[in-house]
Amino acid sequence: MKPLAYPPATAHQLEGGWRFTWVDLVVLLAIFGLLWALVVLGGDMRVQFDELHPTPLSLDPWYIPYYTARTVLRMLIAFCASLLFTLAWGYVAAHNRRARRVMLPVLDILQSVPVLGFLSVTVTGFLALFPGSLLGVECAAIFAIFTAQAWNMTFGFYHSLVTIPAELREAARVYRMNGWQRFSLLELPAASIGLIWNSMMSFGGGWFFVAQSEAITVLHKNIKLPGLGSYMASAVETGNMRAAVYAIVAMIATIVAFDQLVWRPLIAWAEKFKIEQTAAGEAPQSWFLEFLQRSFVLEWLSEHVGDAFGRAARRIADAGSDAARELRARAPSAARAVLRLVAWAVATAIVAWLVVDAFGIARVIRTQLTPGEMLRVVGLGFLTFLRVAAMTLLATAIWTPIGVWIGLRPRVARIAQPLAQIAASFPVNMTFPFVVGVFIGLHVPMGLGAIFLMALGTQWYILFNVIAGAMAIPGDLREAARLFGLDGWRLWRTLIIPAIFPFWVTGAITAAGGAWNASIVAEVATWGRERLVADGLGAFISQVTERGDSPAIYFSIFVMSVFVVVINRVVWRRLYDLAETKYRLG
Amino acid sequence: MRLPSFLRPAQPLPETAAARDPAKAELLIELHRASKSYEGADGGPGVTVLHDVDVEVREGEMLALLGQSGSGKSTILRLMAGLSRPTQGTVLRHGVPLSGVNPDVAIVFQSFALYPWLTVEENVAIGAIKRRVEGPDAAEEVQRAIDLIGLSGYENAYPKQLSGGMRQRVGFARALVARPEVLLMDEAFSALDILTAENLRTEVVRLWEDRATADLKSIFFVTHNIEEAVSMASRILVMSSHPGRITTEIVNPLPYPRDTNAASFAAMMDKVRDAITALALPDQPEERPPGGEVPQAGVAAEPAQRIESIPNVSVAQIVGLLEILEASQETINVFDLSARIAKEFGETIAIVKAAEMLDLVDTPKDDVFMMPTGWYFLAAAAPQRKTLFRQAIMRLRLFQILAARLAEAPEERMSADDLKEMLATMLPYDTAENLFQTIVAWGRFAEILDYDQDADEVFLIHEEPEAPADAKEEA
Repeated sequence: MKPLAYPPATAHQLEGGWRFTWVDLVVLLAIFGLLWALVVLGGDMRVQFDELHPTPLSLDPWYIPYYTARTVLRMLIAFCASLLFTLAWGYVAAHNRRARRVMLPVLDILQSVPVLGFLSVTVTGFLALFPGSLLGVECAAIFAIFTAQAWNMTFGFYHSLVTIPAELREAARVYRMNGWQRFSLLELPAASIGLIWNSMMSFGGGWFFVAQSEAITVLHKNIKLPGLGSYMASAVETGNMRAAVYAIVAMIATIVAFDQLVWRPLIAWAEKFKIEQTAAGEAPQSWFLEFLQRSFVLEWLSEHVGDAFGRAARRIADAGSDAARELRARAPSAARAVLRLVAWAVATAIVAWLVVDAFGIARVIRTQLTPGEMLRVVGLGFLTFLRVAAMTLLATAIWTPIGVWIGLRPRVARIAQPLAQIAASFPVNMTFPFVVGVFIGLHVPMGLGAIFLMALGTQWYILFNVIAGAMAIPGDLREAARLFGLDGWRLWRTLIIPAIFPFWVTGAITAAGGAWNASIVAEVATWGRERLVADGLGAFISQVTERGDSPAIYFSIFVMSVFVVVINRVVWRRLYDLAETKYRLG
Repeated sequence: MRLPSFLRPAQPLPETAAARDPAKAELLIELHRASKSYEGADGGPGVTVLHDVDVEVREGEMLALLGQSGSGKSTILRLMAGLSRPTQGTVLRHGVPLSGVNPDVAIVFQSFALYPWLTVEENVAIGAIKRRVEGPDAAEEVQRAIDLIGLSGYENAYPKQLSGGMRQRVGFARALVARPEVLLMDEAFSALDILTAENLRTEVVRLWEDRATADLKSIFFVTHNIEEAVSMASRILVMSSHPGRITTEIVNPLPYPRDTNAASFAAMMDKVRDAITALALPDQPEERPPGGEVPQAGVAAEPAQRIESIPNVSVAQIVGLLEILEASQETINVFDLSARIAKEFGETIAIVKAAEMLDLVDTPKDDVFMMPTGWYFLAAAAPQRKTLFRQAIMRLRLFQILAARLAEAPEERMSADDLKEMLATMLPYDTAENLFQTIVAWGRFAEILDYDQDADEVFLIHEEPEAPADAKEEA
């Protein structure tokens, strides 16, 4: 019999008693501090907004914490919305076979729509909803972050739900768990590791969109939400280099803080939700989690408040399932028929509304745009496509050897991989103006420069996936290769390229998808008074957005979405299948 | 492990009386002419796993369902639990058609099916959910089950920290807390090592004899292990596969605790073994190969001549069997062979059967001995072995039909999906995918056909098969 290692929390409970320490003081202060910040910042979101005399942002560095907090709040609200959407959409898609046939393709299409292109449309819409208040712009910014996070998280959650081992599900049915129990005891725990990893990646991607959506120009109106992104934009506009550097430092510090205080602890905590029955490998650790586990206050809260909540939820779910059973017993066919009718009516109404909407937009586009203009938009799409392809190939050529070199050296990889992840989270669009300044100085044509700008944000996905791939090459395959004297190109061809291929595909899909989005901000860039424009669909979208030319906005976004969907189907899907069938190790 | 007195029922057990007279025993669960078939994925060929099955679970009996893997045993268990519905036929619970999950049962799973994020105590408490007991009452019952099953001291451990045997104890404790009328065990001991399994089996028999929980009226278990069935069950149902059918019923009146060394035990083992081999390795083969004559195309659709399926075994396993027979120089009993190669009897029989179909061995009763062709095959060098193997499989109707079909096809190629479709029509009780894999493996060894994974096509190979294969690799 193996000796039992009690987890720290359990040992804690065994001792019992009131054990308030300085840790608890810190935790309590932090809880109240966060609550206070939430109240203050939330109130500030409803600030009146005068279109003619916008309040200028202060570039005083003392304001940076406040602006950072506003930006973080936006991110958190958007993330909560994404999480709720993920749980609801993923849950229904996993449980209802008929709904799934619609819900998954819809998600796939939504994933391909360039979020940034929609910013102008949503801003005008939300401004109309909250006239005279910045709340509309806040909502638009939050919505933009939401659309950048939600789809990926939902796919991940859905996938986790449908891959729960059959016997765990059967046990839940035989032992008669109600809906809530099945969700809280089986489904959510089983999906939690995937959900946390996906959340971390999506949250990281969100910084790019929050930075972009805080300072936007719609209909020639320059709107700035108080935040780190707009602070940076103001600094660039006024040429205040010092303030710009402050902003970048604050951004990096925020990303690192989130990594250390939120994501790492969550990952370490979620280790217990691994389904594999054997304890294996090195468990992820977090100093902050260990710190929190020393807190008596948190333990007390989870024991009392958490349990009370669990009991209440279980009673409600019990009552609900009883009521449903009774209804089915009393009026079996009628109740079901009514439910089905309602579901169909709602679905039909939504579809009808979408179809009418689409027809309306299509008519506007047809009347406002000439075939020549449409053709030009498609042509611009090809230019941007060439840029995205060039970026993907260049980033692959540069980062694959480096990534493999790092991945084969575990000690280097342990440091480099988190760095690459942080680099991927950093909103590089904040730095675009500087880079453009360099372009102007060196007379780099923007057509090529845009490729570089796109790569700044998206290359990291290729890098850290390649690192992960190289780390996953089994030791015996490497030893065998050495034994048979494989080296140089032959080693790459027989072992390294096939082994990292599935990882590279994952990274390249993310990078290329991100590049399409980035083209909207990368093909047009401003440095002080100078403005560089590259020919491309991204630049076109960004220009028509500034003009507020709705038909052109809709059409160009439609074209970009089609490009993304077609490329996904023709290129990425096939590479992905190939990776799954032929190059999967183990 | 002796039961604490408070757990033992006060009055004498009425069940034993019922067990003596099955006619009077209450029928707890019945499967009535139940069949189950699955549709293939994406409209592909489906498969029928159960055909016209009748089972009665009676009060006071420990009923075993014995069969090889893939025979549909677990499907029967899931039909009883209401986790799955029959495509045809009915499932009755106390004589009433079952709808939804059967509330009278608890399952002990082969893979334990414990929730890894819950402690032992929390996992056992899952069993109390359906009775909606809460608070101290629930805690007390959970603790009692934990003590009863020998888990005390491990309440706060996580399943990951336990050995397989301890994990399955958690599975049993969880099932007992649910207070089932019928306890279902799905290969509950097969994931454990031999000693642990033996130990746990003894305890389950004791729990059953003592009626560890007052509501327990019957245990139904599914196994591929003959000794497990004989040592535990009071009645044994033997299944045959492709399609799953119950072929034999054997009543096992041996008193508990059963002594595996007793002559009566050995006699019972023989009885069960004979029942199995009579079905799986009949002395008269079902299909006599029609003298090496290649049938005309379209013969496959003709129902008059039955086509025999081939067992899902590799060529290396067949050769391995011959080598064991060569080394032993005499006939071997199938079940001794099974113990010797550490495979369940179902797999062993499949290998023997494959060798028998190829005329390499013969199997009078449950003995195996090598035919002259077998000796000749073993003595041959690799190329000759391939030739012999080719001749042997081309005497099978399945391969004759396949070869004829491929020869007719354009460029002598056929898409894998079409081929699987064809197999599903010819042999509806086999999983087309498995059969396809075996056909490709045998066909490749015999160098009569090959499978191109990238094109997903099967094609015929003609004389001098090495040359084109090499050329292709270099291209």
